[in-house]
Amino acid sequence: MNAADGIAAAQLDAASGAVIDALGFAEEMARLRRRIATWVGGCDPEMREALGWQFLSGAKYFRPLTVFACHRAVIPGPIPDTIMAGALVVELFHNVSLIIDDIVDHSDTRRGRATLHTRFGDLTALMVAGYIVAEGYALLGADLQASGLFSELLKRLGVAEVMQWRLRRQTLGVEDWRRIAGEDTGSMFEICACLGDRSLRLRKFGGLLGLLYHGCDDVGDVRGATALGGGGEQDLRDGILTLPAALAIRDPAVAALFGKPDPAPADLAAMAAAFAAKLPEAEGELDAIAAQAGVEARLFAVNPAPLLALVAQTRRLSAR
Amino acid sequence: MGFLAAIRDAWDKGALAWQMMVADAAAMPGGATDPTGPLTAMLAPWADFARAYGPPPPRSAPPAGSAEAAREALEQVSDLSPALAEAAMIAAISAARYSRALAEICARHQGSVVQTMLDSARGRTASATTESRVLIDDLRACLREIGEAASLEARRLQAELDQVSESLARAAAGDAPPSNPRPYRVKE
Repeated sequence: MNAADGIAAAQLDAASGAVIDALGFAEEMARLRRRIATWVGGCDPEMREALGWQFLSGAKYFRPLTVFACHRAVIPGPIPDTIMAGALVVELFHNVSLIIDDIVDHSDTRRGRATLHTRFGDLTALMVAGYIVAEGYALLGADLQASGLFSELLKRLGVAEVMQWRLRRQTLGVEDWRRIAGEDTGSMFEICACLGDRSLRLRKFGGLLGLLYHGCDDVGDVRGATALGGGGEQDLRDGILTLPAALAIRDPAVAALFGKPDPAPADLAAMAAAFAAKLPEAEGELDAIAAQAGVEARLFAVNPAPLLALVAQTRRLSAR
Repeated sequence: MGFLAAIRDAWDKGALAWQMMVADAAAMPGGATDPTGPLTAMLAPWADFARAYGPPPPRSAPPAGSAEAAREALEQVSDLSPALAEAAMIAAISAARYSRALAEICARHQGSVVQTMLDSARGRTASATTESRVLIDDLRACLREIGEAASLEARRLQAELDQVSESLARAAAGDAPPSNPRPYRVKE
Protein backbone atom coordinates (compact mmCIF):
# COMPACT_ATOMS: atom_id res chain seq x y z
CA MET A 1 0.00 0.00 0.00
CA ASN A 2 1.17 3.49 -0.72
CA ALA A 3 0.57 4.63 2.85
CA ALA A 4 -1.20 7.96 3.13
CA ASP A 5 0.08 9.22 -0.21
CA GLY A 6 -2.78 10.61 -2.20
CA ILE A 7 -5.43 9.74 0.41
CA ALA A 8 -7.40 12.81 1.49
CA ALA A 9 -9.28 11.23 4.39
CA ALA A 10 -9.44 8.02 6.40
CA GLN A 11 -12.16 5.68 5.15
CA LEU A 12 -15.28 4.98 7.15
CA ASP A 13 -16.88 1.63 7.97
CA ALA A 14 -20.07 1.46 5.84
CA ALA A 15 -22.48 0.73 8.70
CA SER A 16 -21.14 3.57 10.84
CA GLY A 17 -21.88 6.24 8.24
CA ALA A 18 -25.62 6.00 8.79
CA VAL A 19 -25.22 6.33 12.56
CA ILE A 20 -22.97 9.36 12.20
CA ASP A 21 -25.48 10.99 9.83
CA ALA A 22 -28.35 10.21 12.17
CA LEU A 23 -26.53 11.92 15.04
CA GLY A 24 -25.75 14.92 12.84
CA PHE A 25 -21.97 14.64 12.94
CA ALA A 26 -21.21 14.00 9.28
CA GLU A 27 -19.28 17.25 8.88
CA GLU A 28 -17.32 16.78 12.12
CA MET A 29 -16.47 13.20 11.21
CA ALA A 30 -15.26 14.30 7.78
CA ARG A 31 -13.01 16.86 9.54
CA LEU A 32 -11.68 14.16 11.83
CA ARG A 33 -10.94 11.79 8.96
CA ARG A 34 -9.09 14.53 7.09
CA ARG A 35 -7.06 15.25 10.23
CA ILE A 36 -6.15 11.58 10.56
CA ALA A 37 -4.97 11.48 6.95
CA THR A 38 -2.99 14.71 7.39
CA TRP A 39 -1.44 13.37 10.58
CA VAL A 40 -0.42 10.08 8.92
CA GLY A 41 1.03 12.03 6.01
CA GLY A 42 3.14 14.12 8.38
CA CYS A 43 4.59 11.19 10.35
CA ASP A 44 8.10 9.82 9.92
CA PRO A 45 8.42 8.18 6.48
CA GLU A 46 9.65 5.00 8.19
CA MET A 47 6.30 4.64 9.97
CA ARG A 48 3.98 6.09 7.36
CA GLU A 49 3.13 2.95 5.42
CA ALA A 50 2.25 0.98 8.55
CA LEU A 51 0.23 3.88 9.97
CA GLY A 52 -1.64 4.22 6.69
CA TRP A 53 -2.44 0.50 6.81
CA GLN A 54 -3.80 0.80 10.32
CA PHE A 55 -5.71 4.06 10.05
CA LEU A 56 -6.93 4.73 6.58
CA SER A 57 -9.62 2.12 6.09
CA GLY A 58 -12.83 0.84 7.57
CA ALA A 59 -12.90 2.26 11.10
CA LYS A 60 -16.17 2.71 13.02
CA TYR A 61 -15.10 5.92 14.83
CA PHE A 62 -17.54 5.17 17.64
CA ARG A 63 -15.24 6.66 20.28
CA PRO A 64 -14.77 10.03 18.55
CA LEU A 65 -18.51 10.00 17.93
CA THR A 66 -19.00 9.65 21.69
CA VAL A 67 -16.68 12.61 22.30
CA PHE A 68 -18.69 14.74 19.85
CA ALA A 69 -22.05 13.64 21.26
CA CYS A 70 -21.01 14.37 24.84
CA HIS A 71 -19.80 17.83 23.83
CA ARG A 72 -23.00 18.58 21.90
CA ALA A 73 -25.04 17.38 24.89
CA VAL A 74 -23.71 20.25 26.98
CA ILE A 75 -22.72 22.96 24.50
CA PRO A 76 -24.54 23.67 21.23
CA GLY A 77 -22.74 24.73 18.09
CA PRO A 78 -19.69 23.54 16.17
CA ILE A 79 -17.08 21.24 17.72
CA PRO A 80 -14.06 23.33 18.80
CA ASP A 81 -10.50 22.39 17.84
CA THR A 82 -9.62 21.31 21.40
CA ILE A 83 -12.44 18.77 21.40
CA MET A 84 -11.53 17.65 17.88
CA ALA A 85 -7.93 17.02 19.01
CA GLY A 86 -9.20 14.90 21.90
CA ALA A 87 -11.37 12.88 19.50
CA LEU A 88 -8.40 12.35 17.21
CA VAL A 89 -6.16 11.14 20.04
CA VAL A 90 -8.90 8.81 21.34
CA GLU A 91 -9.02 7.16 17.93
CA LEU A 92 -5.23 6.91 17.95
CA PHE A 93 -5.09 5.31 21.40
CA HIS A 94 -7.96 2.98 20.56
CA ASN A 95 -5.88 1.73 17.64
CA VAL A 96 -2.93 1.14 19.97
CA SER A 97 -5.14 -1.21 21.98
CA LEU A 98 -6.28 -2.94 18.77
CA ILE A 99 -2.71 -3.45 17.55
CA ILE A 100 -1.65 -4.98 20.88
CA ASP A 101 -4.82 -7.11 21.09
CA ASP A 102 -4.18 -8.48 17.62
CA ILE A 103 -0.58 -9.40 18.48
CA VAL A 104 -1.57 -11.07 21.77
CA ASP A 105 -4.52 -12.92 20.20
CA HIS A 106 -2.51 -13.89 17.08
CA SER A 107 -5.32 -12.43 14.99
CA ASP A 108 -4.66 -12.56 11.26
CA THR A 109 -7.36 -10.18 10.09
CA ARG A 110 -9.21 -7.11 11.27
CA ARG A 111 -11.77 -5.05 9.36
CA GLY A 112 -11.55 -7.60 6.57
CA ARG A 113 -7.83 -7.23 5.91
CA ALA A 114 -4.50 -8.36 7.38
CA THR A 115 -3.69 -7.09 10.85
CA LEU A 116 -0.73 -4.74 11.24
CA HIS A 117 1.61 -7.35 12.71
CA THR A 118 0.62 -9.90 10.05
CA ARG A 119 1.43 -7.40 7.31
CA PHE A 120 4.54 -5.74 8.79
CA GLY A 121 5.74 -8.08 11.56
CA ASP A 122 5.55 -7.95 15.37
CA LEU A 123 8.46 -5.56 15.84
CA THR A 124 7.07 -2.94 13.49
CA ALA A 125 3.59 -3.29 15.00
CA LEU A 126 4.91 -2.83 18.55
CA MET A 127 7.06 0.14 17.58
CA VAL A 128 4.16 1.73 15.70
CA ALA A 129 2.02 1.35 18.85
CA GLY A 130 4.63 3.21 20.91
CA TYR A 131 5.03 5.84 18.20
CA ILE A 132 1.27 6.49 18.17
CA VAL A 133 1.19 7.03 21.95
CA ALA A 134 4.03 9.56 21.77
CA GLU A 135 2.35 11.31 18.83
CA GLY A 136 -0.94 11.38 20.70
CA TYR A 137 0.53 13.28 23.62
CA ALA A 138 2.31 15.66 21.23
CA LEU A 139 -0.99 16.37 19.45
CA LEU A 140 -2.61 17.36 22.74
CA GLY A 141 -0.13 20.22 23.14
CA ALA A 142 -0.86 22.29 26.24
CA ASP A 143 -4.20 20.65 27.00
CA LEU A 144 -3.18 19.36 30.42
CA GLN A 145 -6.64 18.12 31.34
CA ALA A 146 -6.74 15.91 28.25
CA SER A 147 -3.19 14.67 28.94
CA GLY A 148 -4.27 13.64 32.43
CA LEU A 149 -7.33 11.86 31.07
CA PHE A 150 -5.28 9.93 28.52
CA SER A 151 -2.75 8.91 31.16
CA GLU A 152 -5.62 7.61 33.26
CA LEU A 153 -6.97 5.75 30.24
CA LEU A 154 -3.71 4.00 29.35
CA LYS A 155 -3.15 2.90 32.94
CA ARG A 156 -6.68 1.59 33.36
CA LEU A 157 -6.64 -0.26 30.04
CA GLY A 158 -3.38 -1.94 31.01
CA VAL A 159 -4.69 -2.95 34.42
CA ALA A 160 -7.95 -4.23 32.91
CA GLU A 161 -6.18 -6.44 30.39
CA VAL A 162 -3.90 -7.95 33.03
CA MET A 163 -6.86 -8.47 35.39
CA GLN A 164 -8.99 -10.05 32.67
CA TRP A 165 -6.22 -12.47 31.76
CA ARG A 166 -5.47 -13.34 35.39
CA LEU A 167 -9.14 -14.07 36.09
CA ARG A 168 -9.75 -16.26 33.03
CA ARG A 169 -11.39 -19.67 33.54
CA GLN A 170 -12.45 -18.74 37.08
CA THR A 171 -15.99 -19.17 38.34
CA LEU A 172 -16.95 -15.55 38.82
CA GLY A 173 -20.22 -13.65 38.63
CA VAL A 174 -21.99 -10.85 36.80
CA GLU A 175 -20.61 -8.31 39.27
CA ASP A 176 -17.08 -9.42 38.38
CA TRP A 177 -17.95 -9.06 34.71
CA ARG A 178 -19.17 -5.51 35.38
CA ARG A 179 -15.89 -4.67 37.10
CA ILE A 180 -13.71 -6.05 34.30
CA ALA A 181 -15.82 -4.58 31.49
CA GLY A 182 -16.08 -1.29 33.36
CA GLU A 183 -12.31 -0.97 33.50
CA ASP A 184 -11.79 -2.22 29.97
CA THR A 185 -14.28 -0.73 27.51
CA GLY A 186 -15.92 1.30 30.27
CA SER A 187 -12.77 3.31 30.97
CA MET A 188 -12.37 4.15 27.28
CA PHE A 189 -15.88 5.59 27.02
CA GLU A 190 -15.59 7.31 30.39
CA ILE A 191 -12.61 9.20 29.03
CA CYS A 192 -14.47 9.94 25.77
CA ALA A 193 -17.28 11.50 27.81
CA CYS A 194 -14.83 13.57 29.86
CA LEU A 195 -13.04 14.74 26.71
CA GLY A 196 -16.34 15.92 25.25
CA ASP A 197 -17.73 17.48 28.42
CA ARG A 198 -14.85 18.89 30.38
CA SER A 199 -16.99 19.44 33.51
CA LEU A 200 -16.77 15.62 33.95
CA ARG A 201 -20.46 15.38 34.78
CA LEU A 202 -20.95 12.82 32.02
CA ARG A 203 -18.18 10.52 33.26
CA LYS A 204 -20.62 7.99 34.72
CA PHE A 205 -22.70 8.12 31.54
CA GLY A 206 -19.57 7.30 29.53
CA GLY A 207 -18.71 4.39 31.81
CA LEU A 208 -22.20 2.95 31.42
CA LEU A 209 -22.08 3.40 27.64
CA GLY A 210 -18.77 1.50 27.58
CA LEU A 211 -20.21 -1.24 29.77
CA LEU A 212 -23.17 -1.48 27.42
CA TYR A 213 -20.90 -1.62 24.37
CA HIS A 214 -18.79 -4.37 25.98
CA GLY A 215 -21.89 -6.38 26.93
CA CYS A 216 -23.44 -5.99 23.48
CA ASP A 217 -20.15 -7.18 21.99
CA ASP A 218 -20.25 -10.24 24.28
CA VAL A 219 -23.84 -11.05 23.35
CA GLY A 220 -23.22 -10.34 19.66
CA ASP A 221 -20.30 -12.78 19.72
CA VAL A 222 -22.50 -15.53 21.11
CA ARG A 223 -25.06 -14.83 18.42
CA GLY A 224 -22.26 -15.34 15.94
CA ALA A 225 -22.19 -11.72 14.92
CA THR A 226 -19.03 -10.26 13.50
CA ALA A 227 -20.12 -6.66 13.32
CA LEU A 228 -18.30 -5.67 16.51
CA GLY A 229 -15.06 -7.43 15.73
CA GLY A 230 -15.88 -11.03 16.58
CA GLY A 231 -13.68 -13.04 18.90
CA GLY A 232 -16.40 -15.15 20.52
CA GLU A 233 -14.76 -18.50 19.90
CA GLN A 234 -11.37 -17.24 21.09
CA ASP A 235 -12.95 -15.88 24.28
CA LEU A 236 -14.60 -19.27 24.83
CA ARG A 237 -11.32 -21.12 24.36
CA ASP A 238 -9.43 -18.71 26.65
CA GLY A 239 -12.10 -18.81 29.36
CA ILE A 240 -12.72 -15.06 29.20
CA LEU A 241 -15.54 -13.87 31.46
CA THR A 242 -18.15 -12.49 29.06
CA LEU A 243 -21.65 -11.50 30.18
CA PRO A 244 -23.33 -14.70 28.88
CA ALA A 245 -20.49 -16.71 30.45
CA ALA A 246 -20.96 -15.05 33.84
CA LEU A 247 -24.65 -16.01 33.76
CA ALA A 248 -24.10 -19.54 32.44
CA ILE A 249 -21.36 -20.58 34.87
CA ARG A 250 -23.74 -20.17 37.77
CA ASP A 251 -24.53 -23.77 36.81
CA PRO A 252 -21.71 -25.84 38.40
CA ALA A 253 -21.63 -28.22 35.43
CA VAL A 254 -20.98 -25.35 33.00
CA ALA A 255 -18.50 -23.82 35.47
CA ALA A 256 -16.51 -27.08 35.43
CA LEU A 257 -16.24 -26.94 31.63
CA PHE A 258 -15.38 -23.24 31.74
CA GLY A 259 -12.49 -23.94 34.13
CA LYS A 260 -10.81 -26.52 31.89
CA PRO A 261 -7.41 -25.25 30.68
CA ASP A 262 -7.66 -27.13 27.39
CA PRO A 263 -11.31 -27.73 26.53
CA ALA A 264 -12.16 -30.36 23.92
CA PRO A 265 -14.38 -29.44 20.94
CA ALA A 266 -17.33 -31.11 22.66
CA ASP A 267 -16.73 -28.98 25.76
CA LEU A 268 -16.65 -25.83 23.65
CA ALA A 269 -19.89 -26.84 21.95
CA ALA A 270 -21.58 -27.52 25.29
CA MET A 271 -20.42 -24.15 26.65
CA ALA A 272 -21.57 -22.33 23.52
CA ALA A 273 -25.02 -23.89 23.93
CA ALA A 274 -25.13 -22.96 27.62
CA PHE A 275 -24.11 -19.38 26.85
CA ALA A 276 -26.72 -19.13 24.09
CA ALA A 277 -29.39 -20.28 26.53
CA LYS A 278 -28.54 -17.29 28.74
CA LEU A 279 -28.96 -14.68 26.00
CA PRO A 280 -32.43 -13.52 27.11
CA GLU A 281 -31.11 -12.96 30.63
CA ALA A 282 -28.05 -11.17 29.24
CA GLU A 283 -30.30 -8.93 27.15
CA GLY A 284 -32.20 -8.07 30.34
CA GLU A 285 -28.95 -7.01 32.02
CA LEU A 286 -28.09 -4.87 28.99
CA ASP A 287 -31.53 -3.24 29.06
CA ALA A 288 -30.94 -2.30 32.69
CA ILE A 289 -27.52 -0.79 31.87
CA ALA A 290 -29.04 1.15 28.96
CA ALA A 291 -31.80 2.46 31.23
CA GLN A 292 -29.21 3.57 33.81
CA ALA A 293 -27.23 5.38 31.10
CA GLY A 294 -30.46 7.10 30.03
CA VAL A 295 -31.04 8.35 33.58
CA GLU A 296 -27.52 9.78 33.69
CA ALA A 297 -28.03 11.51 30.32
CA ARG A 298 -31.34 13.06 31.34
CA LEU A 299 -30.03 14.26 34.70
CA PHE A 300 -26.63 15.64 33.74
CA ALA A 301 -26.83 16.77 30.11
CA VAL A 302 -28.32 20.06 29.00
CA ASN A 303 -29.47 18.36 25.80
CA PRO A 304 -29.64 14.58 26.34
CA ALA A 305 -30.88 13.78 22.81
CA PRO A 306 -27.47 12.91 21.26
CA LEU A 307 -26.60 10.75 24.26
CA LEU A 308 -29.90 8.88 24.19
CA ALA A 309 -29.39 8.25 20.47
CA LEU A 310 -25.93 6.90 21.23
CA VAL A 311 -27.32 4.55 23.87
CA ALA A 312 -30.07 3.35 21.51
CA GLN A 313 -27.55 2.74 18.75
CA THR A 314 -25.20 0.84 21.06
CA ARG A 315 -28.04 -1.24 22.44
CA ARG A 316 -28.95 -2.38 18.93
CA LEU A 317 -25.44 -3.78 18.39
CA SER A 318 -26.12 -6.99 20.30
CA ALA A 319 -28.69 -8.01 17.70
CA ARG A 320 -26.37 -7.56 14.72
CA MET B 1 -21.18 25.98 66.29
CA GLY B 2 -23.17 28.82 64.73
CA PHE B 3 -22.68 27.13 61.40
CA LEU B 4 -24.16 23.86 62.69
CA ALA B 5 -27.15 25.70 64.05
CA ALA B 6 -27.64 27.44 60.72
CA ILE B 7 -27.52 24.14 58.86
CA ARG B 8 -29.95 22.59 61.33
CA ASP B 9 -32.25 25.56 60.95
CA ALA B 10 -32.18 25.37 57.17
CA TRP B 11 -32.90 21.64 57.22
CA ASP B 12 -35.73 22.02 59.70
CA LYS B 13 -37.33 24.82 57.76
CA GLY B 14 -36.95 23.08 54.41
CA ALA B 15 -38.36 19.82 55.77
CA LEU B 16 -41.26 21.51 57.54
CA ALA B 17 -42.14 23.56 54.49
CA TRP B 18 -42.03 20.41 52.42
CA GLN B 19 -44.28 18.62 54.92
CA MET B 20 -46.77 21.47 54.73
CA MET B 21 -46.85 21.32 50.97
CA VAL B 22 -47.36 17.56 51.08
CA ALA B 23 -50.09 17.97 53.70
CA ASP B 24 -51.85 20.51 51.48
CA ALA B 25 -51.56 18.15 48.51
CA ALA B 26 -52.86 15.22 50.58
CA ALA B 27 -55.88 17.27 51.65
CA MET B 28 -56.89 17.62 48.03
CA PRO B 29 -58.89 14.85 46.30
CA GLY B 30 -56.51 12.03 45.30
CA GLY B 31 -53.74 13.69 47.35
CA ALA B 32 -50.21 12.39 47.87
CA THR B 33 -48.68 10.69 50.90
CA ASP B 34 -45.85 12.18 52.95
CA PRO B 35 -42.46 10.95 51.73
CA THR B 36 -40.55 12.80 54.46
CA GLY B 37 -41.11 10.25 57.23
CA PRO B 38 -37.79 8.50 56.58
CA LEU B 39 -36.18 11.89 56.03
CA THR B 40 -37.25 13.17 59.45
CA ALA B 41 -35.99 10.01 61.11
CA MET B 42 -32.72 10.24 59.27
CA LEU B 43 -32.14 13.90 60.08
CA ALA B 44 -33.11 13.64 63.74
CA PRO B 45 -29.65 12.65 65.03
CA TRP B 46 -28.04 15.51 63.10
CA ALA B 47 -30.56 18.00 64.40
CA ASP B 48 -30.01 16.72 67.96
CA PHE B 49 -26.27 17.06 67.50
CA ALA B 50 -26.61 20.62 66.28
CA ARG B 51 -28.99 21.48 69.13
CA ALA B 52 -26.57 20.02 71.69
CA TYR B 53 -23.59 21.98 70.44
CA GLY B 54 -25.17 25.00 68.78
CA PRO B 55 -26.33 28.25 70.43
CA PRO B 56 -29.81 28.36 71.99
CA PRO B 57 -32.69 29.27 69.65
CA PRO B 58 -33.13 33.05 69.42
CA ARG B 59 -36.78 33.00 70.46
CA SER B 60 -39.37 30.67 71.92
CA ALA B 61 -40.74 28.31 69.32
CA PRO B 62 -44.21 26.78 69.16
CA PRO B 63 -44.47 23.06 70.01
CA ALA B 64 -42.64 21.00 67.44
CA GLY B 65 -44.90 19.31 64.89
CA SER B 66 -47.82 21.63 65.55
CA ALA B 67 -49.64 23.35 62.70
CA GLU B 68 -48.49 26.67 64.11
CA ALA B 69 -44.84 25.58 64.00
CA ALA B 70 -45.18 24.41 60.42
CA ARG B 71 -46.85 27.65 59.32
CA GLU B 72 -44.19 29.69 61.09
CA ALA B 73 -41.46 27.66 59.43
CA LEU B 74 -42.98 28.29 56.04
CA GLU B 75 -43.08 32.01 56.74
CA GLN B 76 -39.46 31.94 57.85
CA VAL B 77 -38.45 30.12 54.70
CA SER B 78 -40.01 32.96 52.73
CA ASP B 79 -38.17 35.47 54.90
CA LEU B 80 -34.81 33.87 54.20
CA SER B 81 -32.88 34.67 51.10
CA PRO B 82 -34.88 32.97 48.32
CA ALA B 83 -31.72 31.18 47.25
CA LEU B 84 -31.12 29.75 50.72
CA ALA B 85 -34.73 28.67 50.96
CA GLU B 86 -34.44 27.01 47.58
CA ALA B 87 -31.24 25.27 48.65
CA ALA B 88 -32.88 24.00 51.83
CA MET B 89 -35.79 22.68 49.83
CA ILE B 90 -33.48 21.02 47.30
CA ALA B 91 -31.52 19.35 50.10
CA ALA B 92 -34.65 18.09 51.83
CA ILE B 93 -36.09 16.71 48.59
CA SER B 94 -32.75 15.11 47.77
CA ALA B 95 -32.65 13.30 51.10
CA ALA B 96 -36.23 12.10 50.63
CA ARG B 97 -35.42 10.91 47.11
CA TYR B 98 -32.35 9.02 48.34
CA SER B 99 -34.43 7.34 51.06
CA ARG B 100 -36.93 6.23 48.44
CA ALA B 101 -34.17 4.90 46.17
CA LEU B 102 -32.73 2.89 49.06
CA ALA B 103 -36.15 1.49 49.89
CA GLU B 104 -36.65 0.46 46.25
CA ILE B 105 -33.28 -1.28 46.11
CA CYS B 106 -33.92 -3.14 49.35
CA ALA B 107 -37.36 -4.18 48.12
CA ARG B 108 -35.91 -5.44 44.85
CA HIS B 109 -33.28 -7.55 46.59
CA GLN B 110 -35.13 -8.47 49.76
CA GLY B 111 -35.52 -12.11 48.71
CA SER B 112 -31.75 -12.59 48.56
CA VAL B 113 -31.14 -10.67 51.76
CA VAL B 114 -33.74 -12.69 53.68
CA GLN B 115 -32.42 -15.95 52.25
CA THR B 116 -28.87 -15.08 53.30
CA MET B 117 -30.00 -14.20 56.81
CA LEU B 118 -31.95 -17.47 57.09
CA ASP B 119 -28.96 -19.47 55.83
CA SER B 120 -26.73 -17.71 58.30
CA ALA B 121 -29.13 -18.39 61.16
CA ARG B 122 -29.22 -22.07 60.21
CA GLY B 123 -25.43 -22.18 60.10
CA ARG B 124 -25.34 -22.86 56.34
CA THR B 125 -22.58 -21.29 54.31
CA ALA B 126 -22.51 -20.58 50.61
CA SER B 127 -21.85 -23.71 48.59
CA ALA B 128 -21.16 -24.27 44.93
CA THR B 129 -24.80 -24.65 43.92
CA THR B 130 -26.52 -22.65 41.22
CA GLU B 131 -28.80 -21.11 43.86
CA SER B 132 -25.93 -19.94 46.03
CA ARG B 133 -24.14 -18.34 43.08
CA VAL B 134 -27.28 -16.49 42.04
CA LEU B 135 -27.74 -15.39 45.64
CA ILE B 136 -24.20 -14.07 45.97
CA ASP B 137 -24.40 -12.23 42.65
CA ASP B 138 -27.69 -10.66 43.71
CA LEU B 139 -26.33 -9.56 47.08
CA ARG B 140 -23.31 -8.00 45.41
CA ALA B 141 -25.60 -6.25 42.94
CA CYS B 142 -27.61 -4.92 45.89
CA LEU B 143 -24.48 -3.48 47.51
CA ARG B 144 -23.35 -1.93 44.23
CA GLU B 145 -26.75 -0.37 43.64
CA ILE B 146 -26.77 1.14 47.13
CA GLY B 147 -23.41 2.75 46.44
CA GLU B 148 -24.50 3.92 43.01
CA ALA B 149 -27.70 5.42 44.41
CA ALA B 150 -25.65 7.41 46.92
CA SER B 151 -23.27 8.59 44.23
CA LEU B 152 -26.07 9.50 41.83
CA GLU B 153 -27.98 11.45 44.45
CA ALA B 154 -24.85 13.26 45.65
CA ARG B 155 -23.99 14.31 42.10
CA ARG B 156 -27.57 15.34 41.43
CA LEU B 157 -27.68 17.41 44.63
CA GLN B 158 -24.37 19.00 43.76
CA ALA B 159 -25.61 19.91 40.28
CA GLU B 160 -28.83 21.42 41.65
CA LEU B 161 -27.00 23.41 44.33
CA ASP B 162 -24.51 24.56 41.67
CA GLN B 163 -27.43 26.07 39.77
CA VAL B 164 -28.60 27.95 42.87
CA SER B 165 -25.05 29.12 43.48
CA GLU B 166 -24.77 30.25 39.88
CA SER B 167 -28.01 32.22 40.06
CA LEU B 168 -26.76 33.86 43.28
CA ALA B 169 -23.51 34.84 41.60
CA ARG B 170 -25.35 36.24 38.59
CA ALA B 171 -27.74 38.18 40.80
CA ALA B 172 -24.81 39.62 42.76
CA ALA B 173 -23.11 40.64 39.52
CA GLY B 174 -26.36 42.07 38.12
CA ASP B 175 -25.92 40.06 34.95
CA ALA B 176 -28.63 38.70 32.72
CA PRO B 177 -28.55 34.90 32.45
CA PRO B 178 -26.32 33.84 29.55
CA SER B 179 -27.87 31.92 26.68
CA ASN B 180 -25.38 29.13 27.36
CA PRO B 181 -26.41 27.29 30.54
CA ARG B 182 -22.83 26.42 31.49
CA PRO B 183 -20.66 28.90 33.37
CA TYR B 184 -17.75 28.63 30.97
CA ARG B 185 -16.79 27.68 27.45
CA VAL B 186 -14.17 25.18 26.45
CA LYS B 187 -11.13 26.96 25.08
CA GLU B 188 -11.18 27.22 21.31
